Amino acid sequence: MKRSFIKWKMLVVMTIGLTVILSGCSAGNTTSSTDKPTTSEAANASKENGGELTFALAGSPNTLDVGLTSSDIEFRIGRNIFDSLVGELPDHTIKPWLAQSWEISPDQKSYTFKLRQDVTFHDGTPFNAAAVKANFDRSADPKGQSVYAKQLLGPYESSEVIDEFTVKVNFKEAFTPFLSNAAKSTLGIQSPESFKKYGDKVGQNPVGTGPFKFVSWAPNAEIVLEKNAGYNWPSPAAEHSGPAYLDKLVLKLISEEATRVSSLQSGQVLAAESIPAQNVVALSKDSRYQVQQVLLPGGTFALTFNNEKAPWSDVHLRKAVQSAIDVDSIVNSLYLGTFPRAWSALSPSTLGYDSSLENGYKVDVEKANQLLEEAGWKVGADSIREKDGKPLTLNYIDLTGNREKREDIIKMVQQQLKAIGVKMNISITAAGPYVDALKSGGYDLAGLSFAGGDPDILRTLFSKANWSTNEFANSNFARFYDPEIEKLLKDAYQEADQEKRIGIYKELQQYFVQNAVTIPMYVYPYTVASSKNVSGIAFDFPGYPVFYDAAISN
Amino acid sequence: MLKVIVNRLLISIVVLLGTLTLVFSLLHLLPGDPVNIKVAGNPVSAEVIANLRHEFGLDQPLYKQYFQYIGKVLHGDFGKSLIDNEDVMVKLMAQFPATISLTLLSMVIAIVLGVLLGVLSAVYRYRSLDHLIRLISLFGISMPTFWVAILLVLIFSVHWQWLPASGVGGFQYVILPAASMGIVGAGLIARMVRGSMLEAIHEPFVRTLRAKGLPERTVIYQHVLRNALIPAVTMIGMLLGELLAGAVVIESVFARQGIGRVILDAIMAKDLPVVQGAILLTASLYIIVNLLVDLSYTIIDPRVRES
Repeated sequence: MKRSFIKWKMLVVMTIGLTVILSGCSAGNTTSSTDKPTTSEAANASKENGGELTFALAGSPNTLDVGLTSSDIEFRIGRNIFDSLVGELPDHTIKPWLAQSWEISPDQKSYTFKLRQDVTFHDGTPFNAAAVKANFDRSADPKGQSVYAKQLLGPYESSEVIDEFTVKVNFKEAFTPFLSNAAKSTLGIQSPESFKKYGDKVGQNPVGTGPFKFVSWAPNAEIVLEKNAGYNWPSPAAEHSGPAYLDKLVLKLISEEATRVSSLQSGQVLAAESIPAQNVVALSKDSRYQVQQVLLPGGTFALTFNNEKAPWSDVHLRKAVQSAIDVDSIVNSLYLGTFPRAWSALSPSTLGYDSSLENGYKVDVEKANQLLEEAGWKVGADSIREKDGKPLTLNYIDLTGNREKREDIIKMVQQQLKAIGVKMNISITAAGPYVDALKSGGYDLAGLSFAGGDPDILRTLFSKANWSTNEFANSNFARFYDPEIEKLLKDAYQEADQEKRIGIYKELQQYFVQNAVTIPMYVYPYTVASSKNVSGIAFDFPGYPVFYDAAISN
Repeated sequence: MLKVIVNRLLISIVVLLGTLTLVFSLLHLLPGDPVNIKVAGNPVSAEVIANLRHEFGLDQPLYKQYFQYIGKVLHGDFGKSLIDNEDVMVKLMAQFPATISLTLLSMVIAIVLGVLLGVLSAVYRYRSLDHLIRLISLFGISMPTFWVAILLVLIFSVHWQWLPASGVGGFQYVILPAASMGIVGAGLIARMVRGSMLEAIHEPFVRTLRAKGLPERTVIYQHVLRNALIPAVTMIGMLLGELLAGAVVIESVFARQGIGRVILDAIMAKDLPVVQGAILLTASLYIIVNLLVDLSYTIIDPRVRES
């Protein structure tokens, strides 16, 4: 009797022992000193010996191969590992970075870059014209697996190595967005040697020229980067020269937003990104923290009509919905004033944003009802409008996950549209059925945001070339096509004169609002909250955090 | 005894094969094509798609994919992830220890706390301690684990800063996640132990033991509890399934590594080989633990041994 109880006790002791051992193994790498970054270390630290910054990222990357991927989080990490040929400042001027200077051919089709001659990759190989060519050729390869980089290279034709440090990039036609695109981490330069050495594992072993070197990656846990001690070619936006201040940058992968905030508040991380609205308000008031916000350039979050499918192919119906939705009240009640309401398909921080669209239309339920009446939709059973025996339904699709509270937005819209007799069906599903719906066009309305840098993002959103097919889902969720608009989209990316180019983009933005092609809802502010002893976290032009100038002080 | 073990092992293999078939067919019945998800939102030529489909064997007839898959699994080859080309077995093994330590510790918490509360509750039945314990276990069962988790983080990480709120590392990282799941399990076990204790306490042999003059402590802990443990042990075996499912939520909440996270990410991305591998792995674990539970009856109850 006694004996068997002793056995039970032993079992319990052994289990606890095993748990301790296993939890030790599961750290996945050797960093264990990150439990609580004590300020005593930081007390002695001047900017020159920066210590270790822990930063909570909102999610887990699949790869760090920026040339092949399309996901924001991967570009955010990549920004600190890879440098670009040029840098873009917030006022949209382009400055030299890895390229010291460049010339554009008179026909606007070729860019000749003179490169810096003192740059080496983290693996010790030299950065040169051949490296640039290897990267662009790889990303533009029509048979390759590149995703976003290929779009950013547009009508890319070839790269020519003129001499060791001069490279000429040729396009099939004029492509004005190229310099702005080249400034992004997506077109950051990777070591060609790493392509050979790691094959399809490059994404797990990134090698760049940037201020931080890749050290290790424990999936779903953390990515560790360390200072590139030989670094002396900072971006044009940087505030100092030489190597980064921080010795180490530990990126903790915490997708759950509440956990990200608790980790900051419990001192486990010194900074965290993508802070939910209610915490932005609280942390801004807390003297121990600071909150930084950047309005991401590119496309805003918009409810995007399927412009091809009846009955919503009728502009009057779309205008009715546009007039019936009270965007201000939705955005203010959900985001507590931390997200600005959007008025255009483009974000205010994008080149060519048309601020004259702001307050350009009002909520007008009467007008909405009138438009629907005129179009022949009469109120029927259950106060839902009907025409030829069919109820007026609006089928909305989105991905699960309630990203940025989009499910809450759509539920509020659903309530508001009841007032004008429109029945909204909401279908929020996993990726499989969602992508299928996008491919077949079997939806009336979809939520879409597309951050980017250049206003050429409008082509991504509205060009016929980006319609989904049965083969794959694409970015023109609006299934929009108009020959004149298509021509303007092309004129805009070929126009070399910036003023004229801005003019075309303003015209386009006005068209999309006047025709209610989409209903812009909010502009996404990328947020970083950090402890007060952290300084110098900066943002590059598309809004990705840059840790080059960051330091930990007392 | 040997016959029992062999019998159970054979059943386990059949169950595993069934799991494999179910997982395989379910994923093919779901809408959405993994290759399209991989390239979503991007202009890619039909040729690239055809190449990818061929590379992953998705262009083969379904039955061929099925038999090829079974053959590979028997050779320990779970294939490569569609998303990052990593070997599935390597990927899973990197995450497995984190899940095991989480599940084990939460089991220990659930069992120790559950049995203790259950016994106390039965011994002091209908008195205030019993009412309090029953209220606590009802609370434990009714509260969703993620809510308990957030509450624990607010108290122990944000307010007192005793334990980390997220991540993986030493033993201190596993305490809060395990407690969040363990508390729920403890509630279930406490109620089960209380019920079967009360049943056993009214058996004639207890009256005999007391009449024999045995101290009450010996009666309760060595005789009543032992008789009450069988249903509780069965429950513990099933609890493992609950805990593995709960790990999907808890690993996300605490940003831990683990199989739960892998399964969740893989399902969202329709990463077929990873989903299949992960489910097969957790199913095997579940089957092994239930095998152990069945065998433990023979230790607890001699009657099972003899039959």
